Amino acid sequence: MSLFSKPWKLSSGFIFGGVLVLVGFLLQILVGPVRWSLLASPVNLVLLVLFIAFLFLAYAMKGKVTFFAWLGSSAAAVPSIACTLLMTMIMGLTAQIPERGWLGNMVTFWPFVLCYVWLTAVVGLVAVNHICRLSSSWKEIPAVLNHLGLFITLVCATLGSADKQDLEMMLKEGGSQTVASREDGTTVQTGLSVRLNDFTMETYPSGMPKRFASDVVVTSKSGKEIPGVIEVNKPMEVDGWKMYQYGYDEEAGTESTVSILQLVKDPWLPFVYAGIFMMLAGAFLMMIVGFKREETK
Amino acid sequence: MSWDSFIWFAAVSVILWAVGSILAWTGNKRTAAMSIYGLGIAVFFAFILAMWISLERPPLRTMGETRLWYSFFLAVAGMIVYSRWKYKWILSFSTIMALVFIIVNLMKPEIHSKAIMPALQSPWFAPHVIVYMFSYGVLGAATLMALYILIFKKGQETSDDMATADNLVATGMAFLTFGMLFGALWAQEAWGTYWGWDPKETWAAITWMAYLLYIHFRIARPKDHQTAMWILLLAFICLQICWWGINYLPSAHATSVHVY
Repeated sequence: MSLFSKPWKLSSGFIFGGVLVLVGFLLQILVGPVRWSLLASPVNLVLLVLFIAFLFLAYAMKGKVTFFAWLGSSAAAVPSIACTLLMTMIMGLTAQIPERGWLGNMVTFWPFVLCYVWLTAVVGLVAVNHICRLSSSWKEIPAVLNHLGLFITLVCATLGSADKQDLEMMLKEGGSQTVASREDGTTVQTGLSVRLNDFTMETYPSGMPKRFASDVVVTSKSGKEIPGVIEVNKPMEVDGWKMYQYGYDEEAGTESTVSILQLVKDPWLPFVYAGIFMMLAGAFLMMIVGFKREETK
Repeated sequence: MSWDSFIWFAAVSVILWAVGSILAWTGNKRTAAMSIYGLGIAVFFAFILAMWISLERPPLRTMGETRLWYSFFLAVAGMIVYSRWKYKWILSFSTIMALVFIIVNLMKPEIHSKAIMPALQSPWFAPHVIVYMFSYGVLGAATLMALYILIFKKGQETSDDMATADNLVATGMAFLTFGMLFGALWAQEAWGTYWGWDPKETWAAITWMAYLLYIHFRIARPKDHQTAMWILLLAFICLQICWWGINYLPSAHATSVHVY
């Protein structure tokens, strides 16, 4: 029975993927590109709860609904990975420049997004499957970590992107700054006051940049003055804002008296990190178990 | 130590690897084969270490330097496979593959100074690249296994042959995951963005998903060996695009921060 149904299930997955891509095309024409900003809190939280509820419902009903049984199986994993892979390849082969139309902005292209949603649903459902088997076998641990970790990372990275603030703050030596600007040019009050004491740029004899550093004093919301040096790869954190060395006056070069900082606040980041660390642990275990399985054969 | 001495270290290593490979074919001198092959690896690693010390930074920045690690890890992966699964041919193959990259380095030495741009001055730099190179080495061995099964076995492959490919992919995939996620953690520290769909990142994701496809295909259709091996070859092509092919992709050249 399962021998006969397996090939059918795999090929039906590719048909499902094809339909999904078609639906994506229709949506792209009808409603335009995906507008990620619409997901800003609390919309993303509602979606998260609905998505998880759907996964548990699908798990509970997998005995009755063939589609749900299939969605959490390797027969759905293969076509969902293949379709997502194909979409990502298209992204990798086309320059991602939004002015160039749909394929120049794959992250807002519905077929691309729907394939990722499908992959996420499969990985989530497989995670639920493995979690529910966890009590009977510790051997499920690597699979739980791999699937749940990827699920958490994908979901939190995607839903959280709308809540992420990514700003640029321009500082002049000796001056203070409280506002920063978004990518579209609009400005935001950060609640911080940043004073730039000194910007340093060192170069190698060849002229290649060696080190950029901004010597700053940051006044937090509560009025506390925090001195610090911000360098590339050495950000500073105040009031949930991570501050990165981002740029300088490139025409003035080493003589630049201007420093540009990048200010990032991403409330979903701890969850993304949790997912990433689960995947790291899962990969580590997969490596060991892979060998062990061989030895016991 | 400089690239000038590379030819001597490489020559000694390759000779030792060749002797080890020949001993492996005889079948009954496994300990001798592995000792001599291992000595070759040690000599090669000595050069890497000496470069590391004289450059005052890990030799990981340029394509030439990463090829150095790739040759090294190919030899290491070959020896691990040989010690576990006793294929007579694997040491010869990994020697030839390592030799190809050594020759590329000798013909096209990309000599660089001590300079290292600020974005690369991070504790994440060495682990990020080293785990990637190890993974590439192991997955290179998996590719050899796929070619061996497709060309020489032609449907007569044993379950042990398939298990070898599976285990190499499991190990390679684990390290691919480490490399990719270390990269994400590093990017978060450097730019505040753990994932930005930079072309290098996109191709890293493509490569990762291609091996993910292999693993899940093996579970879904365990008896279809041919298709599985073709997926493995496709995945290796993606890996090559990610590693160096990207430098020649017009789509990537415009927008990537990873093109050196």
